[in-house]
Amino acid sequence: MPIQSVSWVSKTLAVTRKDIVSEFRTRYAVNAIVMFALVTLTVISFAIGLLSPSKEILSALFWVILFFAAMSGLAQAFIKEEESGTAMILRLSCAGSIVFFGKMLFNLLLLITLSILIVPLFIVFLKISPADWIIFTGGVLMGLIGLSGATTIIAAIVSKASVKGALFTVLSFPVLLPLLVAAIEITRVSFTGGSFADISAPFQLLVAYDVIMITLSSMLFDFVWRL
Amino acid sequence: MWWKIIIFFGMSAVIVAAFLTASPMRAADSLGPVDAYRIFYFHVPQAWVASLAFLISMIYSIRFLKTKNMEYDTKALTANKLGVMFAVVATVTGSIFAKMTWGEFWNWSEIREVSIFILLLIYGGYFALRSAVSDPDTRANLSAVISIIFAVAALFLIFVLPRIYGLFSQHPSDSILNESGQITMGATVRIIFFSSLIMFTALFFWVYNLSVRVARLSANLLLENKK
Amino acid sequence: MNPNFVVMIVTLIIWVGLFLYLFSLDRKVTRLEKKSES
Repeated sequence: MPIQSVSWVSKTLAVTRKDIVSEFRTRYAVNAIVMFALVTLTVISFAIGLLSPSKEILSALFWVILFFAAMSGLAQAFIKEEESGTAMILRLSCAGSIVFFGKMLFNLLLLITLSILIVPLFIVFLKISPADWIIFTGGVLMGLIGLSGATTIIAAIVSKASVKGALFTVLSFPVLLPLLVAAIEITRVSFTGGSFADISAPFQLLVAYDVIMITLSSMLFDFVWRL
Repeated sequence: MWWKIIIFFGMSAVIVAAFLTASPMRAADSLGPVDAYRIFYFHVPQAWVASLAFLISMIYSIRFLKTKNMEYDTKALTANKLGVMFAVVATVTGSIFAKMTWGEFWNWSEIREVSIFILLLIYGGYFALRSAVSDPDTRANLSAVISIIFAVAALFLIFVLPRIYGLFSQHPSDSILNESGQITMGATVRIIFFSSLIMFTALFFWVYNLSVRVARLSANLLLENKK
Repeated sequence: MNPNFVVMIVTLIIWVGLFLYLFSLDRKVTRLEKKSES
């Protein structure tokens, strides 16, 4: 059968699907990320749940949980390829950008799955609920897109290092800071109840950040991937 | 040769002028001792040089990725080494000033303090990455990529963040920018300040040039020894 | 003595020392470069 020119979209989705399937088998990343978020949420609930923290603090804590869960779960995106020896085949079979977007999509799905599990628990444990669900969901979604968009290439960088340790977190934090600030602000407004005008500034920042970071990462990805 | 003489007398003149002319701040408006504000002549140029160094390292990182010439990697590394030193000095002088005028060594709601701290984190991340990779080629490539990513993130932080951050800053508007506004930079102050800026920049380039030449010499020596 | 004056003298001393060090370093590096070129 002649090899048809397969669109890059389907190639990208194939990479994502491969990761999803292998994740289903072992569930390493999902377990790590969900358990970490759960534990962090529990610790926070015990520590300050009784003190009725303000909505501002809770919006920040929400993103603290997501951030650290992402730090624990997204670092392995490329390490498992290097370790299992499949990295070479991946490099040979498709362009770098396809691998990048495929992995990024997978990370995003991971984070979305996490959020679906954590948000209800967060609401129940800390007795807080978004006054405006549209703002809340929009903010979380754009934030997660930026989170996976910015950290995918950093995960690739860390996979090439000999001593990994906390390198992923150390490298990710300065890069993610603008995203965190904007996302926390949007979440805060969604908790306290505000208009779309309130969030226009941080939301624009978030969108700009997502677009710029994903574009930049996809341009630089080949330099890391082809080493 | 002559420019070294200029640097010597220029910087000496700045030092003399900084302490013998009137303090840049009016006694009536100053918090704490009015002479403490003299540090403005040194602290701001230091922070400026630290940012300049980082910019230079980003430019050399881009050139390295384009040409794969290891000389550019050395130049980027040297720029960052000098930059972090200036950043540390700037942070310490700023912190001392903060204690004398605002009463505390550190305050997270002060945007300038947060910015320089992030710069320190970025430098830290860069060196952490470099020490985590053993192969020189991989190290050069990864460092170049992360430099560019950090630079873009830093641009976000510098230009876009103050607009958002202002939303939850409760610090009395005594940031250094405001202070400059209050000083309104009388003619004398302006001359001394810009001279200091030029002198610090010239000093940086001299030390930078020296460091790069030393690195080049030791690399050549290493190659000769191997022969 | 005026405290500003004291600080200025100290700063100048530090600066002169630093400058002399850099200057001698510059000369050593130039000499080494000339030697490795020949």
